[in-house]
Amino acid sequence: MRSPKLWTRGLRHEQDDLRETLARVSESEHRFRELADSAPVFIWTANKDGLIDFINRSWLEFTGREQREELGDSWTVGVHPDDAESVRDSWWKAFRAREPWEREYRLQRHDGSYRWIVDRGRPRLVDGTFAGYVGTATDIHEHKEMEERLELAYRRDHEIAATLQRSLLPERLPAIDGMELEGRYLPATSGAAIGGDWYDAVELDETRVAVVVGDVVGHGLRAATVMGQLRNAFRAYALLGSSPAETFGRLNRLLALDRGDVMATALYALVDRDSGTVEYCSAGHLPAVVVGGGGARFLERGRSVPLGTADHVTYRDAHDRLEHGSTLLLYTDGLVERRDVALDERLVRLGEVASAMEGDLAAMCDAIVEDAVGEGAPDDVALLAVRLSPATEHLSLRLAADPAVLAGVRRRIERLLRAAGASRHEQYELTLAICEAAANAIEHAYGPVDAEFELEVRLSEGQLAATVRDRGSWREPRHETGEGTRGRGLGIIEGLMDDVEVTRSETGTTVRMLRTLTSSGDG
Amino acid sequence: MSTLADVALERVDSWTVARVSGELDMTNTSYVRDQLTRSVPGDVDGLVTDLSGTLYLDSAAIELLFEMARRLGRRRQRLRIVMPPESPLGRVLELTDVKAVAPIHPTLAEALASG
Repeated sequence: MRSPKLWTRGLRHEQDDLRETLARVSESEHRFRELADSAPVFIWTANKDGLIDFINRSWLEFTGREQREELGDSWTVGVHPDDAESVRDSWWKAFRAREPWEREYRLQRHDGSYRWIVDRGRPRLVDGTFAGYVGTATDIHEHKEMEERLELAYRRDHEIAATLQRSLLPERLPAIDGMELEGRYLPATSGAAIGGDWYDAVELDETRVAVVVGDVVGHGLRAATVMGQLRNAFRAYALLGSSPAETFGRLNRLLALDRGDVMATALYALVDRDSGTVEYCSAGHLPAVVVGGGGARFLERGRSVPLGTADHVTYRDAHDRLEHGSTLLLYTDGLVERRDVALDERLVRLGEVASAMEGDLAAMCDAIVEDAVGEGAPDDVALLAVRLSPATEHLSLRLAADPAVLAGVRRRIERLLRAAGASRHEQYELTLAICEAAANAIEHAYGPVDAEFELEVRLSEGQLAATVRDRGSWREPRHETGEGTRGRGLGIIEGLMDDVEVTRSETGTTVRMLRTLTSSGDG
Repeated sequence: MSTLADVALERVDSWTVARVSGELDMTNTSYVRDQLTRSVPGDVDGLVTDLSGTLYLDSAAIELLFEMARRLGRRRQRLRIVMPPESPLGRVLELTDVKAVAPIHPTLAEALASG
């Protein structure tokens, strides 16, 4: 226990210490200010009440004002009116919390112009006691302007790439009879990552449909343009009827010819709508997934290197089968690659999410994208889902009275007949007879604009029943002149069908046709 | 222009040969008619219309065959048709009695060789 005497002596000692310290501070402050005045950066100090008590010469030369004009809390006078309030607010907030402060704002120069500066302050402690702030500021105007120009250029680049990307993707997937198609494309949410992802579906002939997903390695405008070239070249080669492997061989040579430094991964599946066979080839691409019957499996064969890796690559086709009602999923790596999760896990997860949503194809795609991407896509994401519609034995169509619909009608009738095992002769003859009746209906539809007609085809127990109904008035065949093509049309219908019944009334004409199928695929 | 059908024209000996591939229906008969009528100069014996590659033809196309036969006949030229016996189109040509105005040959060689 201390005696009172000792205590007072202790106090006196402490007071002496304080005086010495103050002297030291004052001396060091003097040195500090001298040093500060000769520094090219702006330097300031604030006292423990948050008021400016020193501004160095560089700052005063910049603003063209006197030291006393800048002290206290009047220093914000020169701050740009748009920035002033937020600068003051942030300063007092940081000050109250005794936290470091940093702010970029525009400050008026002596010539009246505003320049961007960055201003930073840190709490100042003297022997462990808060004594105010010391801060430095730098003119970053050129830097800031450059940054803005870069940002603008970068944003523009991103926008162009995104626009290009969108314009190159099929705006709407084609409506393909016997098949459901859903596509999803999400551009990367962060600027630079926009890339060369694409998907496409092309109906090659009555049975086969080419579906493809690809990813040009790299990002930005260049990747998007290369993607456009690849997509067009793909369509051209696919329409030639070459197999997936042959098509990739050609695309690879094209890339090697054109620009040796571009690479792309792609997966091409050639789907037969009738048999469900799938011929596919992967150029370094992630495996397609088949979802059906509550499970998922991966098409992992037919793999080779990406397009553009070597001048001569022999790609190989693999074969699989897609059941009616099951779904084929093609996608790009953006859907499954995450830095923190193993790829295998992500693929398994993709299969699980898809299998849980087998009902509606659009809903399945939404669920997959939602699960994989959630709040934002770090990379481009493309997803193409293909599902074979169950074989139909019934067609019921309401069609525009326009000859242009006939080709589509033929496809649908032919598909229905092929699925039923009709011979080549039967396919042609029945399709022709029904379409002759449809052509009649179209020709009757003079007068009202946007006229329509109805067509129904039903197969049951080996017999085909077709009905074509219009709301026009029947034109009498003009057999005698030999020029009535519709007259010949009716003759063809009667010659090809077992039974034909034409009902004409005030409200329109109905043609009913029947024919028994004899064969199950002799051609 | 037609996307459904394609007509390839060639002069073989004293004949114009038109190979019609794809599908012929009421939407493209006028295109095919233009192709055919322009392709037969006065100095040939006539036109061989090869339907070996034709997948579909309707009554409008049959009518075109009759029309071509009439036009050529007026110029003392002839129309011949090539159609392989196994073609599904055979029955329709039979039903409409096309052979009354133009002989139907199973191959192009036979059509050209025929007197």
